[in-house]
Amino acid sequence: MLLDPTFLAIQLLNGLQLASLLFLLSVGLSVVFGLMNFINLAHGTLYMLGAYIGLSLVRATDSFWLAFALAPLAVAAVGAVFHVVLLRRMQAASPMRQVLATFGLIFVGLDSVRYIWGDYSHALAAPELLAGSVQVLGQTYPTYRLFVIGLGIIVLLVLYFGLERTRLGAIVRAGVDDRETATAIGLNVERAFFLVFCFGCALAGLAGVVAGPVLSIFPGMDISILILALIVVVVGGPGSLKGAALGALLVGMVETFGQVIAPEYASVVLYALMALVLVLRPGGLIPVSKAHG
Amino acid sequence: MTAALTVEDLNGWYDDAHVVQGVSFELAEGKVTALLGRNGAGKSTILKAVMGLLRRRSGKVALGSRRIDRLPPHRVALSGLGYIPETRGIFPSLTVAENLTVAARPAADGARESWTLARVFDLFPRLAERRQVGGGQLSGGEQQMLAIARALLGNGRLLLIDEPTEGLAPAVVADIETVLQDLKRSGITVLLVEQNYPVALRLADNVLVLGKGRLRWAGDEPAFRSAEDVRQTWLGV
Repeated sequence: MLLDPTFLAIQLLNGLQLASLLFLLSVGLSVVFGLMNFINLAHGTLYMLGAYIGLSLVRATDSFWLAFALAPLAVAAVGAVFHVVLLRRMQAASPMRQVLATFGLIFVGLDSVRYIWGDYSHALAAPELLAGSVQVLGQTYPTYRLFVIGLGIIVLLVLYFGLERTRLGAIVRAGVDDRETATAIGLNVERAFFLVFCFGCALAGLAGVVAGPVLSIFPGMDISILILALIVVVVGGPGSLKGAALGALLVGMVETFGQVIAPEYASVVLYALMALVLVLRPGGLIPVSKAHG
Repeated sequence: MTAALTVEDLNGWYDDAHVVQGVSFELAEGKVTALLGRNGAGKSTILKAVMGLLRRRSGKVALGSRRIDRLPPHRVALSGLGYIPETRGIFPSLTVAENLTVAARPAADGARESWTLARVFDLFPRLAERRQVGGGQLSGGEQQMLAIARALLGNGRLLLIDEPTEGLAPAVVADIETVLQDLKRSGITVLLVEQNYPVALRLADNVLVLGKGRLRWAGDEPAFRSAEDVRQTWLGV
């Protein structure tokens, strides 16, 4: 079975699809952790919120694409409030206090979701345009999953060019290199990081909507994927875009192949991967370069 | 005539260390003022305090008649202060051209001729050659030129320059001094921290001497040359 090319191709696509979702989710987590030195365990809650807001928007408007466009904006707005109310005040706090505060937010998020949407599982239908399937080496494969893969690649490219080619990207890179000098030559690093943070939240929301038709929507959907996303950040290197992409790819593949080849060992392999990276390259596979520590 | 920069009773701390203690001075418009003192006297800290980079500081700082001591650092810079840190602060992830353009702003008052990328490249042909190179790959001298060029492109009214010749080879020191002489002739106001006293005194119109966090002497450059006791007590030369 393992050497069957069709099986390999299908699992490879499944791995890419999971990697794509993990990438969307991890970018924001990685940015907050790597650039702002803030451990935001509630990042998964934003993902869950994206899924539920998407669900309500689909129900209200009957349009997946409207939900696809609006849910990330709504989640970014929630993220902005979170930044002003909590993150800014707790930036200087010890990691333990950050973990406790955002861990608490996970439960606030869970109960809020239960209160508003109820304690059961929902499914989101794929949009009509992508509801069919395509032939992959004689096997049918859902078109929607290919769309998820393509979306991850597009977002990666947009982020890459945004970081390398735009003024905001240059300000962010300057702020990461040497924050003190960047502010002293007139760059509003704090605002640039805030915008990046909101963008990261929007991507978490996007991941939530997009995950809707693939994974089911339920209170707690954030926890299982948060752990994978945290592994992505640690493996890839906090604060690094390429790191998040590489980490997502590795974790997506290991998780997918692990689940089909040896389900009972899948998480063991995943944690072994993380432990290995931590021992060999504590800063992650692609650590962000910092001029001053 | 109001001074270009007025500093009154400035205090600055690093954690609990009271590094700058009640320093007051004025910078004359269009003049170069050298801030001299031994290592640890608090010279760089004064520049950081003026820029708003210290966590803890007190006192009044005014650019012309405008108070700037309550502003965050990027607003201080935008109000017209160009800062060249001792570390040079070149961004390694940005190319030489990006290091410059990210900081470029048109002059606020519009009265003077603005510094543009083209003018800066005329002044530093070496940077024009290296424009696509990463900021992390420059030599010490090139980094210093880039730091000066970047501060000029901010088109401020005043430059704070921290030890521009530190750690550079003699030939490069001479190059940097030539550039600073050019800038001086262009009439920009400069506060210069410099441990190389011959260079500092060739550039300076006025001199401030700092010792153990306090201002010990202030006067013009000829007066400083004859104030031998000041030099011996506070600079050891």
